Amino acid sequence: MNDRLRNTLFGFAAALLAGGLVAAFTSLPTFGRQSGAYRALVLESMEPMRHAQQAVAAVTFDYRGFDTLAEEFILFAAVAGGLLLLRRQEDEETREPTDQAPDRAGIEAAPAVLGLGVVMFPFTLLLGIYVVLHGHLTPGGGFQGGVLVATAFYYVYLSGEYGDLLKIKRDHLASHLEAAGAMSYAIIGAIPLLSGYHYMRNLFPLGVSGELLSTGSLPLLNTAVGIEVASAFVLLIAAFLRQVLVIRREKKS
Amino acid sequence: MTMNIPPLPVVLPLFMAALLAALEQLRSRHRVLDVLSLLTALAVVIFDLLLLQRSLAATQVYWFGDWSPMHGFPVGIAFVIDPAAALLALLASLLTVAALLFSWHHFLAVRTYYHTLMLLFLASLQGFALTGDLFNMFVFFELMGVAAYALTGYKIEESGPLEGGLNFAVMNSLGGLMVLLGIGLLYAMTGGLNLAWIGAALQGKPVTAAGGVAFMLLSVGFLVKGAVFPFHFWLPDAHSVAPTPASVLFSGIMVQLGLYAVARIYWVVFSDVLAQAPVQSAFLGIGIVTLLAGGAMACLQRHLKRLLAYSTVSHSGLILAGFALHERQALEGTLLYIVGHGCIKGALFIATGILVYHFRSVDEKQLHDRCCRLKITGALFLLAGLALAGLPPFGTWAGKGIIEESARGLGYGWLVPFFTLGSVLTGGAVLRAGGGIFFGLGHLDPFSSSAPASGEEGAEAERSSGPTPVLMLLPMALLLLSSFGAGLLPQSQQVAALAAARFVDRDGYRDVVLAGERQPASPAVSEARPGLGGGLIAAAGAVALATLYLAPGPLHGRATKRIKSLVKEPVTLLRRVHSGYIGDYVVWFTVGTAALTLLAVLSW
Repeated sequence: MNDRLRNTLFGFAAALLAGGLVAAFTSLPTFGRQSGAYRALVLESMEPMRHAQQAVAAVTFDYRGFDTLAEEFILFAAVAGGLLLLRRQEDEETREPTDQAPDRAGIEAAPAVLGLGVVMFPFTLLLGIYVVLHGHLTPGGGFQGGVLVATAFYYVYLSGEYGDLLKIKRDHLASHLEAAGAMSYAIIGAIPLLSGYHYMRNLFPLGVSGELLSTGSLPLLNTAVGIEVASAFVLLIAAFLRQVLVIRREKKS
Repeated sequence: MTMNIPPLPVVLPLFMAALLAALEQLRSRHRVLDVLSLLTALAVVIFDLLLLQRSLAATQVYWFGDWSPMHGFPVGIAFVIDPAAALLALLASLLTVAALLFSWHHFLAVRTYYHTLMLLFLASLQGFALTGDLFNMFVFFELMGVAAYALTGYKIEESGPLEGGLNFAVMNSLGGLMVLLGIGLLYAMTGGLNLAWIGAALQGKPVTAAGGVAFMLLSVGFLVKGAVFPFHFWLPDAHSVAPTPASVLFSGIMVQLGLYAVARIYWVVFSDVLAQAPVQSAFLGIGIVTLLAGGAMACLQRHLKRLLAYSTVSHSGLILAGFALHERQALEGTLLYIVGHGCIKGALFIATGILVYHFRSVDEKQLHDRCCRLKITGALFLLAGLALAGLPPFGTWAGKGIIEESARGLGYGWLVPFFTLGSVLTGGAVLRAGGGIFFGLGHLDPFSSSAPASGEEGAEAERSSGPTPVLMLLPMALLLLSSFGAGLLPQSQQVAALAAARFVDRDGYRDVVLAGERQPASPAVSEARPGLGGGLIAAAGAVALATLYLAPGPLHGRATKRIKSLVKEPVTLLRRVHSGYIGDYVVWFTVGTAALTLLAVLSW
């Protein structure tokens, strides 16, 4: 296919597809008139049955917690795949990163940038941990909080201390934490099996509604996901940094 | 404890995948990884066998978190394990065992995350087959994809695997988007995600365009995985460059699960909502075109893994056509065919892996006459070629025979010659390659003049001049034997018959999920065995085609030029269409999706 044929064909087909989709969308129930039973059932049952006040977290980690197990492992697989594809090849070598600007010898961040990084790192870390731990009470949770925790480490990179990130490799603590986070979700889900309940049954003490330690297994699952997500994103940024900064194709001499 | 087997085929490999990722960092422990991953896969085989045995008595419904339906509405996620689901899960775990056995000697050194990704892939296949929840299906579809893209790109030293992985990822992500759109439409209409619930909620209501379009979008998404025309282009790019053990799973079960999902969704959700005729004609047409295009392309390859990949495309077409007949007996044949074909295709990919192990090449011309010392591999390869064409009593023969009987009964007798042709083309291509490589027959053939498969296999394994390790031949032989058993044993046909009967029992499925009523065991249907004639004809045809290529005859005499000029144009066209350029693939995808969506809007 040449460019013109390809573009014409695509435009034509995309227009037809759009038409079909519009026809489908217009035959849906009117906006705001959705009559599904899901919402009502979850809102009615989550407080008495699970002492939960946050429907999103209750659905994500309890009613449909098995989906979340698989989703956590999608991230795990993506990171494993990413590290696999970004590994150093046999014909590549690593070198000390150098500054691209010719008039500077070493890489040094400006004091203001460094100072900002030092300030932002602890606060972002704290915010991330807060969001993870309160996932069952307020919007957020393991996935969002985990990304925030990882963001704290991105400040390390931004403030010029990327050398610290480059040390994070597959045998680093972050890598073990990632596997541990993924495994813990699977284990927490499996504990009920020992007492003859089904997988993912929420058996932990439900606590007082609205308190930090409540809703049974939700805080535990959020923490597991938070650890997994945070270490996954730290591993990924480190792998990308290595690929960009220090891995060079060996010159054939 | 005994109640709790259903989650284990998914949860155990997921857990082990994470554990192995941690263990991998201990140096020089790759035998530990081999053993642990093999044990995990074997455990999953046992779980699947237990599940199959139980599902034969009654369909098993397992609510995660004990969230059984509230006031009749499913708030949780259910695995719904009927014999068909358990059978395909079992095939997936068996193929994984074979693939892991093979990889014992396959890799020079086990590198980053191989075992982890294989186990994640296994878990996703299990979950996808066993689930009865639409969104859960999508989640496992994604997990399957992510693990598979990474496995495809495993050999990052070459450009082929990276391109193959990229094409695979782009096309499957587009498919995933369509699935998500379809789920959104269905959720907006019914407010539920459980397949049985959606079906029950749509039942008896007037058909809207949204319902039809939702079905087509879901189908398109899963047909991308199922690799049928015009959504199949990614498959040869990916399957031909992935490491051999991954190719075994890709071609043996992953593709077929995509088609299974379409059939499952059709039967549980839409079979009493949407008129049958438009779906049937569209999918039968797509199936036949796929079957022919895949078969013809297979004959034109000299890269062995690409040849096998195109044969998978061709057989996908047959499987889709089998599902599209929308009839119990055809379904029985199709399930049997999936099992029979999956084992044979796995065996053939393992054979190419053995060639890589010895010669570091999968190029038919380079290998010509060089592999004569691999007598056992050669014999098994030819046997697999015949089995692929449907030689009795392999599973492919039994399955295809039953589908053909059903097609004749439904007035679709014209499908039969196409099925035979597809078998002849793919079986003939494999036999031609085997005859040349292992027995030095024939000359360089005039039609398979595509680019040589050079260099791509260099890094995968060490070149070995010793004898083939037993652990490589064993899985190949076992897979052939399984396919043999699947066709020969009347019991396997009975299992398939029961699976099909339960699969089409829409109301029984909905009742057992939503009301917890025990599904009455369907009356065992005693059936005549398929006749030997069709299988023998197809196998003979494949031999004849291979002979045409290999023996001194019309293709090598004076008539060569005339034949060449006769087929030149269609061959060129076919090659052009398979351009290898991702932009073209997306255009084809859009055209196919638009056509099917429009069909849905116009017919319902």
